[in-house]
Amino acid sequence: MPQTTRRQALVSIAAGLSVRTLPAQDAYEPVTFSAEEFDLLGIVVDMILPASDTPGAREVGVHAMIDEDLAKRSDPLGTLRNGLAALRADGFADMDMPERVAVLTRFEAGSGADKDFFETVKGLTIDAYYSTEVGLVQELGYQGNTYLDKFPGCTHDHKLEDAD
Amino acid sequence: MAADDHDVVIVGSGASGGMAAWNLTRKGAKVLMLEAGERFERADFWSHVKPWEERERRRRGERSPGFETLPLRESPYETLAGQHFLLRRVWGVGGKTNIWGRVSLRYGDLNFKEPAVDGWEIPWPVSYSEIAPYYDNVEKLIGVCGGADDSKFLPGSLHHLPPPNLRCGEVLLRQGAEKAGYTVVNGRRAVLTAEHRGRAKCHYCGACGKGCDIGAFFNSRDYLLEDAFATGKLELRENAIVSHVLTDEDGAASGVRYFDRLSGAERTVAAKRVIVAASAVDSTRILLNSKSSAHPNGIGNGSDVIGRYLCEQFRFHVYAFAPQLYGRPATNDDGISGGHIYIPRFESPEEKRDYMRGFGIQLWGIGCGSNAQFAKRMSGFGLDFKRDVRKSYPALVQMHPYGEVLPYRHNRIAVDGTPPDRFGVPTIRIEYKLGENERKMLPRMYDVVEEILHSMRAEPLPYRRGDLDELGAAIHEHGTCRMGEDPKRSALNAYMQMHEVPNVFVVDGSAFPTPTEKNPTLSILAFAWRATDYMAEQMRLGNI
Repeated sequence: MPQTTRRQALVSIAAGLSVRTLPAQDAYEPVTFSAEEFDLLGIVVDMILPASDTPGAREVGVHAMIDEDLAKRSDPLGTLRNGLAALRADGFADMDMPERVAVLTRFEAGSGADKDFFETVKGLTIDAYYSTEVGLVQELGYQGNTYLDKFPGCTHDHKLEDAD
Repeated sequence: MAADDHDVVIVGSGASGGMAAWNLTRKGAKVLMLEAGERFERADFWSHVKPWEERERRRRGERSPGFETLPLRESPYETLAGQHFLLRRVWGVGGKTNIWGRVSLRYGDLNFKEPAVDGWEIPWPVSYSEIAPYYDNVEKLIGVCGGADDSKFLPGSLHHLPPPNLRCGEVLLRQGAEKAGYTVVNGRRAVLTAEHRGRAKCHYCGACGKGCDIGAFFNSRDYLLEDAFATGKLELRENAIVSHVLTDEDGAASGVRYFDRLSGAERTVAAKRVIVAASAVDSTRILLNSKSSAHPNGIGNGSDVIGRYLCEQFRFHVYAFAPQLYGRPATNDDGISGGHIYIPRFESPEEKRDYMRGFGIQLWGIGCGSNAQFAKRMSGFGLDFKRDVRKSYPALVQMHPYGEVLPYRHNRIAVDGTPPDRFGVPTIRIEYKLGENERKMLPRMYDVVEEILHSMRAEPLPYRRGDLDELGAAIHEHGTCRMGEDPKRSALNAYMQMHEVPNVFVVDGSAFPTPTEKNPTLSILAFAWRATDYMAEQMRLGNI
């Protein structure tokens, strides 16, 4: 089946459930981060996995999931707090998008606390986003964890030369 | 001591304890089994909870079974500074067989006799021809799928259930490895790919690690204890944390002490014969703590080998993409969860190399999975990144080499100077580091992985040559109560009976003198079956 057709079908199915992962997303009150930290976090996670033909990280509530998860563990909360404080000091929220991209690009290429922050928030964003129905099914096309009578395995004829 | 008419007391209900109970009860022995945890209920397994439903369930306060929480709470362990060791244990009926990886590889004479060839420590006291009939019997009993391959590195079987079809990434990996000259075989896994002895077959939901809701892979509770209970000869006591094997003035085992996990009460049961089967680390803790005037160094430990020679496999993980699969429609790649192919060891002891023993390569996590962890190793962020993750998702392949760690005397489990648990019983300290042989094997493992990935034209995700997974992560601890011919260098004879205390048998992985490069559960079952055949015969003859 052509990929686009299936994905379009999933998008239309998902239209009714795309925010089901966090029903009261707009009303979510952070329990770990301050309101300002939480807003910054929302900007960052959405820059890592933005909306495309599927919703972005902020829309599915990735920042809220991170807030919820870190309420129960101290690591890596410090790394996130320090990074968010650095962004705040730089006036990140008031920058335009190209400026923000430049900051995150510098963090990724950098070292020390900047790089730690970037990799930590990226890892948490990936874990959270691709654990949602939007991220896993709608975006990636995951079809697993179901009942099959037979496992068909690979049904196309692959050759190493297909890499050319 | 409470009056007790059990013929045998078994400590532990996992693969080895389950097998001992199954075999002895069917031969008519009355068995009391002591298990530190409780029964895990299938109805509680989250086998069919989708990844995106888990968060909502946790918000509602629901919990999946905490398979590994109990031992860390009840019996934490120490390590030496700079010698991290990841110890994973399951306390509960069935032990680790509730969530094991199901890889079922026969050991061969290559494994058993190699120490005699290279001269490092002691060989196994059993040959392949002696244990082969037990491998046959275990495979027929539990159901193992696999291929028709047979080699000195991986002896074949006539009893395999049909192997599952290969995922696309596995088809390409196999082509690449074979082109580079390596043998690739069907994975051998204790998963029912066909109905077997009245049990339902696997439905390919891919959630084995959460516990199987229909029991379609071997686990001690469903496959062994159920039959043992049906004989009417098995009594199981849950929440019984065993601390000591007790002895009489002659040094023979006379009972077992345990603590009731719920009430905290100390209890003893009389025992004519004891089987210790609490998995390598906890069995060793019990044996070393069982000190008496007859056994000042721990029961059966006059040779000072118990606790020593701790060994398992070291491993690492390399992730790559098969470009042939970039942007293909996602497929359901769950299969029987884990690898459907395997690259067995290929180096002979006679070959000239600068290290001993060898490694095999496991190949799990291939294709479309239930997360996108691999994306953490991809660079960038934003729309292009998100598009790359989607494109790469069906193309993921992984290689996981497992290398044999030599048994070293200084690698050990100790109970001296450790903090007590809440019952006042010493907990354990693990002292463990790799040696020169492993350092020499590691570059060769990386070479082979790179050669195969290059041959299949794969694009590896960033990795650092020489990186290792945490030590202990293979969860295959061995060596700390090893069997052997020489009582000065081993604690058990070839039938896993203590040289010094004939009415004690230790039938779990601690008895294995080497870890080999393979996963041990199939062998643990075979050896425990053989040991309890011998034990039953000795009981019949009145020798124990």
